[in-house]
Amino acid sequence: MEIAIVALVVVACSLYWLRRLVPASGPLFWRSAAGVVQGVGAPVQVRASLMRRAEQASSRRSGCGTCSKCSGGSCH
Amino acid sequence: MTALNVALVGNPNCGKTALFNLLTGSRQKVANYAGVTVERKEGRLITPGGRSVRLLDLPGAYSLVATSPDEVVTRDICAGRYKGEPPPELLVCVTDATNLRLHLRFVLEVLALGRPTVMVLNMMDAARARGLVIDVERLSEALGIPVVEAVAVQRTGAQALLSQLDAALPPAPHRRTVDRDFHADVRILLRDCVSRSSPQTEQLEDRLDRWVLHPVLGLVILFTLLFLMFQAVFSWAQPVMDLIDAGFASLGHAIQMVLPAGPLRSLLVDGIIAGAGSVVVFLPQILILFLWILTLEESGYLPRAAFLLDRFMAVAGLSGRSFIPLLSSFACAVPGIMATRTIQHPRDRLVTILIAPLMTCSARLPVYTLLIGAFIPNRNVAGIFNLQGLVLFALYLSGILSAVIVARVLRSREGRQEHPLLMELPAYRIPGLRNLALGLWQRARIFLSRVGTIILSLSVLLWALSSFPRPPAGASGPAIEWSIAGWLGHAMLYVMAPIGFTWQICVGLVPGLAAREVAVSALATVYAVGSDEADTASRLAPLLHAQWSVATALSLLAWYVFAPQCVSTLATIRRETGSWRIVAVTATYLFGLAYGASFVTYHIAVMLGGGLA
Repeated sequence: MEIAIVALVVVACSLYWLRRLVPASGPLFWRSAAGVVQGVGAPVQVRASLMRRAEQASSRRSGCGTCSKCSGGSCH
Repeated sequence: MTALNVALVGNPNCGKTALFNLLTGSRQKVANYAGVTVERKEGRLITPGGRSVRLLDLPGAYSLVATSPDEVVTRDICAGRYKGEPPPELLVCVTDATNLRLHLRFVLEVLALGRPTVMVLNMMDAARARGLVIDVERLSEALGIPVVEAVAVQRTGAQALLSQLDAALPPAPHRRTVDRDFHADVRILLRDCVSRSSPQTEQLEDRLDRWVLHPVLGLVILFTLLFLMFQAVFSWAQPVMDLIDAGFASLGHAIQMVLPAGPLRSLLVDGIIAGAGSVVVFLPQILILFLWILTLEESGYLPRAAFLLDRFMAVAGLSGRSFIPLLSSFACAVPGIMATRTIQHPRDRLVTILIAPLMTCSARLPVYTLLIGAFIPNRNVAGIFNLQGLVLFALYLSGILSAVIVARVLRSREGRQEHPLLMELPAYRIPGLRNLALGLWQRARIFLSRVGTIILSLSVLLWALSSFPRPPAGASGPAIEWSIAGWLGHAMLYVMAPIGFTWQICVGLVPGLAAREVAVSALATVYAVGSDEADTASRLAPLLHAQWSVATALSLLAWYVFAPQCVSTLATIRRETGSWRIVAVTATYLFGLAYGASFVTYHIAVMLGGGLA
């Protein structure tokens, strides 16, 4: 259990940095997650929500990357 | 119902952004000098009458004949030529009521565009205090547009403008060519519509300016202010820093008591608390630094400092116009580089961008103060000066001096070029407590959100890299040396050993590229993983003092004066210049300077006997 929690935290931090460094990985991640959710037979709403996130991630423009407010080129 | 498209235009420093913030509830940066807004900002509001308005705050411009990149944005949006932006249905031309001689000229230029326009007489309270009487109705009649009064820094200061936005759009004035003599028109308008209730006497600010702008005394005042700022950073912050330090140490001990030894406890104590906690402790120092900067910004002193330093900027081949972007870089190089859009001359702009990373940004402060606290004795010099504050001042000064030298070298092939500085000196203002508190709150939020995202996540990743793989059975030496981080640090030593860096410093430099202060948390994590203590974050300074030589510490300080340890800065340079080549040139010259300076510092310090831990 302890190992699982630690692994989860480390994976979450890795994904955070992957999204910052390679913004294109965002939509790919959410689409893959939606595929997995569909595969395990989760409710349709969950899949739809993940697909919406994928859409949002693909339409987001990235700025300098230092804060969450830098989309659209209006940094800081 | 579609929203009404309204654009705020006007000369720089007339209060457009203050008005924008008041109307939309935004918190865009405002300061008492020209050139704070360099790109368009968008906000929305609903008027008391229920009308939906989309409001644009445009960069200030002295004329629609644009001479710098920020003025181009304003000109194109006003003329309806800006790509992806619908032409504004109403232009709100904001003016400084205390300086109509300058601002009315721009109003006349805007009217010549032939778009519906409303004129706002901002800072009416200051105009009345100076004995200016403006006949608003007569001015409105003469210009042929509605004119309303406002005080954008007061909560109810924009009621008249809101009522105007509720009313029907004013008719568009006749479109005219701009080749006529607007100065003559302004003289007539001033004669007919503005009078004085009392004879003009020498204002307090004129008397102040005689001291502040004095070629010798002015410089003494400037350097005294800067010197006091760095002294304050060290002497005022310590009690609060000790309190935060003690808080994190107690938290580490508490977790050690509750959780059994294992990866989860190690992650929390060695990764998260040691990593993030070691950086949070610097919050008081950062806030004190910004309290000074915000006070100077609000008071109107900064443009005067730019005026004073114009001669020195000329030595570097730059004009005083580069001063504000360079000064912004003391907070963060990213907005500083963006602020270069106010510089008209392209070559001046490029050189300013190239030297902006040499200004000591606030992210360097944790690194500097950690090393100064660990290696420089906390004692007084000449009875009044704190030695640690003096060293910090010297580090800031070395950044400035190297910037001057680099700029001089970059401009040396061009020969001497004169770019006279024309700059509007704003009125002095007593900084508002609310604005100062708001500015400090924003800085604290930015800093803590960086700790909670960038620094925390990197601390966790670095903890994982420092903890795994585990050493094989029967292996000797600290476990961290068998980890990926240990391997990476040792590999980098081939290049970094000549400048006195240890493998732990090398490990800290890699995540430090994301943000400079991460180097502190990285060092804390690396040393925490390698030790059994729970309070490494609060004991980092004595730990470094025991393990490093003074030469190594000075070498690392020299590295941080120059190294471009910030990917965001390089990304902003790419965006502002549109060139990867310039990014490569910047990174190469800064890393070259950093390595050279560290090499020289380390070897001189070793020669002087500072090579022993």
